[in-house]
Amino acid sequence: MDFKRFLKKVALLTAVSLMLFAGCDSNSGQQGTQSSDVSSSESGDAPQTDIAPSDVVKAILAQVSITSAVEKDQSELATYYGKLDTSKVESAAFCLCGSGAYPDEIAVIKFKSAADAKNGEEALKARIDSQSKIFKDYTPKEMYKLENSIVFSKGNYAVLLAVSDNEKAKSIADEKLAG
Amino acid sequence: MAKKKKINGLSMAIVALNIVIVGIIILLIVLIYLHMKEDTVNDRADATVTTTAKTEPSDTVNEETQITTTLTDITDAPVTSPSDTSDVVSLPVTYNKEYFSNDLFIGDSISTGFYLYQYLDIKNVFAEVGLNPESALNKEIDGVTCIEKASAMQPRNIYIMLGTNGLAFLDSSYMTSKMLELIEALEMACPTAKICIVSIPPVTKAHESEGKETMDKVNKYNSELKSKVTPGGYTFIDISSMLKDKDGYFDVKYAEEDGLHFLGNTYIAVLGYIEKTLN
Repeated sequence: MDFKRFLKKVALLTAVSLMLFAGCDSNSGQQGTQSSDVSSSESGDAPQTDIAPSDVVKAILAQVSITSAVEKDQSELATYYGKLDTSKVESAAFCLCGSGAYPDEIAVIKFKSAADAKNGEEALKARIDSQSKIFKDYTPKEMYKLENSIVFSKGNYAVLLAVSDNEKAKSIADEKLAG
Repeated sequence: MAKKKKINGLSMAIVALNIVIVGIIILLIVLIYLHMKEDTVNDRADATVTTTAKTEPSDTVNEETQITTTLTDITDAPVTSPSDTSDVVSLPVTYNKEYFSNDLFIGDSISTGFYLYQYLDIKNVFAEVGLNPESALNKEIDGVTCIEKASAMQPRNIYIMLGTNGLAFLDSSYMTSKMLELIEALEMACPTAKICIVSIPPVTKAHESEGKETMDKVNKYNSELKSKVTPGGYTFIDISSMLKDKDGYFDVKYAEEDGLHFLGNTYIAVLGYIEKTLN
């Protein structure tokens, strides 16, 4: 009888200890989120995620291909996006067709703030306009990629998509940038 | 007394149980930490490999070797050729980027690939989609014409590869005359520069079947261009012949999907061939 009681107590204590442990763990998780939230509100416009732009580009390329894709980084940003204020850029990755035959392009740029990212959208739209003028008479069959192109910003990131399936590319980018 | 003993026994059991639980927790934490550490090391190793592969084309240290590596990678890509490779002349697989550092390439979308692939710096290229011998003289890229760019740069060599975009709607004699105008203007702007005219590349059989650019037109234009520029002392570099398969079409091993543009390895072959020809 005593032994049974003892076992009951042990089971109860084990359960309480585990619950306490689980409670501590969940508290520590909450603390992490809270501190992250605090830092977000402190900075005012911190990104929803901290993913590298090149990882977003790679994720899109895995499902939406670009013929003869050439991946480029921040060092070449000014060459291709002349209207972009590169001093506001934290990191970037973009990809286009190396042979010059097709207008396909993906760009993911991480800015220093969400406001900078919003402003950066204009430079990306200017790039689409410029490419549209160039490719309009050259490859009319490929123009749908530019006509249906998508430029948007999310948190500190601005994204340009001009590929065969822009909607699919956007859903991948959305997913990656949501964290 | 017996009750006290019982309580003491129970307390001991609770303490022992808690020690066991704490021990298990510590063990779990250690295991998780070790696992995470292993993952981080693996991630770092992967990142290093990726970065190396990405920076190879633009790295200036031991450039020739690295460009050869890039070519091997591209050649290994699943590109099929209908022709027997034993009949195909082996093309250059390396070039020296430094050799072209004071040179200027003028061309159309095909030439944009020189800087898109980073085989040349953008400062060494004046090229845009759709450029042809008729539009090249006055076309502005980033606010300057090719004459203005050449004048400011005073390159050692100037290479012009134009004509593919005119094949479908411009007469080859007219294009040749416009090329001569362009050459004269460049010569005036850069009297010390060596001006080289590069033949336009062939097209694939599949591309020809679309009916716009045909090999007859390519060969006619190249032949006419060569006959008009060589008497003037200009260098004509025939890249068309080296890119053809045994049937006289653009070898698909070197052609972009559209049968007109270059694959990455083709730029290396062309640059290597130009360098070899001029040396």
